[in-house]
Amino acid sequence: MQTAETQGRAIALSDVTKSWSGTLAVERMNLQVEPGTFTVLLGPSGCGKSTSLRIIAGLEHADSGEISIGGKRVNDLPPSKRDIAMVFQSYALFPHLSVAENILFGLKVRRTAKAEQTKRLNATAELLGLSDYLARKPSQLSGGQQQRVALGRAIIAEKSVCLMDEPLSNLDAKLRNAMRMEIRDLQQSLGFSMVYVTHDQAEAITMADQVVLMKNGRVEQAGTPREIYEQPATEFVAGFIGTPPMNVIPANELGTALGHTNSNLDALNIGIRPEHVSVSDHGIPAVVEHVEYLGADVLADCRVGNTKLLARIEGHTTLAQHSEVKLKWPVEHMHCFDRSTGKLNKNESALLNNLFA
Amino acid sequence: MMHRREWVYGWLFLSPALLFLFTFTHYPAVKTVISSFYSTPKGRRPAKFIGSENYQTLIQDDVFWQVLVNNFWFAVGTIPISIGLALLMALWVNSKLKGRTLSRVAFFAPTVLPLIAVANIWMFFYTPGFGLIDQFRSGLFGLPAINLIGNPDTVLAAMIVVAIWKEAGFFMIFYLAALQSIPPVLKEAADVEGASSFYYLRRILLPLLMPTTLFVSINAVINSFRLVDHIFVMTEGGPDNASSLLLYYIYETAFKYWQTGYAATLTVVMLVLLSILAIGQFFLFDRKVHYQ
Repeated sequence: MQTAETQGRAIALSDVTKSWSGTLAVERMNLQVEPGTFTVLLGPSGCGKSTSLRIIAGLEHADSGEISIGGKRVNDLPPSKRDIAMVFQSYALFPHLSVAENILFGLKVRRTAKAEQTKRLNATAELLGLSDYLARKPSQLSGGQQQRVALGRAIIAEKSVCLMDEPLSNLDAKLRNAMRMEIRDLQQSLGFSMVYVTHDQAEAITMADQVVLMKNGRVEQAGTPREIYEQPATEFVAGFIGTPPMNVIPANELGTALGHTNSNLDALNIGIRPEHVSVSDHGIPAVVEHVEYLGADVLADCRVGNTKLLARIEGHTTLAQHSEVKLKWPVEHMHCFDRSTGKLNKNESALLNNLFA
Repeated sequence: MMHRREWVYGWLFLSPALLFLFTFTHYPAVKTVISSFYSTPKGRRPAKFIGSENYQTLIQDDVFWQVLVNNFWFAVGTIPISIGLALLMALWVNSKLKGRTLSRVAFFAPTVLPLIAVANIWMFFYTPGFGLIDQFRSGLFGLPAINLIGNPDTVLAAMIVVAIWKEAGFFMIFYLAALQSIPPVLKEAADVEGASSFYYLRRILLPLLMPTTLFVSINAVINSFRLVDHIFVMTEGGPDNASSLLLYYIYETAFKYWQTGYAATLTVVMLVLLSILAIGQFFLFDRKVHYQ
C-alpha cells in the first residue's frame, strides 16, 4: 500500500484452555507466531482451530492461560483494542452498505480524516482490483469479489495482525488456488502477522511459514510445511498430510512378510509415503490389488500380508492387477511410531534398518 | 394443447381464493363507492342517485371533522410510540438474558388477549375512586380521584395508552423475527472494527430492520383506523365525541342512525385516506429500504 510496510507483531498463546459446558474445545494450547509470518491452524472439523482463532481475536474468552500480542497480555482487551483485523468464513459483509462503505467501515468508526479515507480506499481497491465495483452492494458481486471486499476491509487499516477463518471455503476450486497465492503475496508485501484457519492441507502447505496441526483441542505438531511433511511427529500428522497420505502399517506385518520375527515389532507401526515406495526385484513381497493410472504416476493398491499399502510409482511402469511384486523403499524415509501412543519413536529405527538388511 | 390445459389449471387453483376475495372484498368495495352517490333507501323509497350531495354534507359535518382530527392525534400518539417500544422490547428479548422466553411471552400476551377483555381490564384501571390508577394516586401521593375516560381532555390519551399496550407486543414479534435473521457474525465484524453498540444499532441493525419497519408502520397506520373495539367497550366515542374515531363514527352512522348512504361516503373517504397513506409510505421508505 502507499505507506511503508505494516509492522507485524508476535502472537503467543500459553496454556490456553477453553471449554463449552464441560466439553473441552481447546486444551492447554501453546502457540508462537513470529512477527510478520504466516501461521496456519490446520485440522479436521471440531479440532478447536476456529475457537483458538476467536480466542486470539477476543471474540471468545479463554478459561485459563495467557494470550499476548506484541509481547503484551491481551486477555482482557476487547477485539478492537488488540490491533487485529479479521476475515470471516461467511465474509460478514454488511448487505446494505456499498463495497466502498464496507471497506471503509472501520475507518469511519474511528473517524479517520476524509482525505485519508479516500486515499486508502483508492489504494486498497486498486490493490484488490475492486475499483470498478465500489458503488455496488455485496449481493451484486460474485463470491470471489465478495471475498476481496472482506480482504479489503481487513487490510485497509493496516493492522499488525490479520486473522482469517476459512476464508476460501466458499469459493470454487480454481478461484481458491488463485486466491491462495494472492493472500500469501498480500501478507508478504504488507508484512502483517497472519493466523489462518483451514481444514484444507493443500492450503496450509502452500501458504504457511508455520503449520500448526490440531486434533481434539490439542496441538499435534507445529513446524514448517516441510517439517510437517517430512518429519511427522505423530501417526495422526502422517495420516493427515499428503495426498494420498502416508501409509501407516503394523511393523510385525512387514516383519512376517520379510521372514523376521521380533516381539519388539508388535508395539510399532511403520509409516512410509506412497511416493517413496518403488517396485524392485527384491524386497517385500506384495500383491497388486488395484491400479489407478494418473498419467505422470500410477497409484497401486498393494496388499502386504493382511494390510494394504499404497504405492505411487512412475507412470511408465506397467503393473498387472493381481500380479505379485516386490516392494522396497529407502530406509531414511521410513517413520516409526509407537502403536499405543501414536508418537514418533526414534529409538527403534535401528530395528527397522535391520528389517531390510 | 398442453399450454391450454395448464392455463385452465391455473385459474382453477386461483378460483377459490378469487371467489372469496370478490364476494367479501372487491364487490363490497365497489358497491360502497356506488352507494356513496345514492341516498339512503327508506321503507318503500328506494335509493336514488343524488350525485355529490353526500360529499357536500360531509364537508359541512362538524362531527366528521372532529372525528378526523381525533383519529389524527390517535395515530400520531400510537404509531411512533408502539413501534419504538416494539423495537426496544425486541432488542431486549433478543439479547442473552435470563428468562427471556418468559419476557417474550409477557410482551406478546396483550396481543393474544381478546380486546374486549383487555378493554374491561383497563376500565378497572381507569375507574375513578377505586381503580388501579386512583389507588396509586391516593395511596402514594394522597391525590384526589380522577376520571380519565370521563373527561374530554384526557379520554383520547387514555385510549391511546390502551392501543399502545395492545400493539407494541404484536409488532415486537416482527422485529424479533427480523433480528434473528441477522447473522451474529455481523456484530462480531463490527466489534473487531471497534464499533460501539450504539454505532452498530444505528449503522447496521436499524438499516437492516427497515423492511420490517416499513411493514410494521403500514400495519400501524391501518390499525390506528381499524382498532376501535376498546372504544365500543370503554367510551362509545364519548364524552362529546372526544374519543370517537373514523371507523367508530362510520359504525354509528350506519348501524345506529341507519344512514347507510352517508356511511358509505364516510367509508370511501377512509379507504382513500388509507390508500394514500400506504402508498405514500412505500414511496417514502423505498429508497431507504434494503431488501436482502
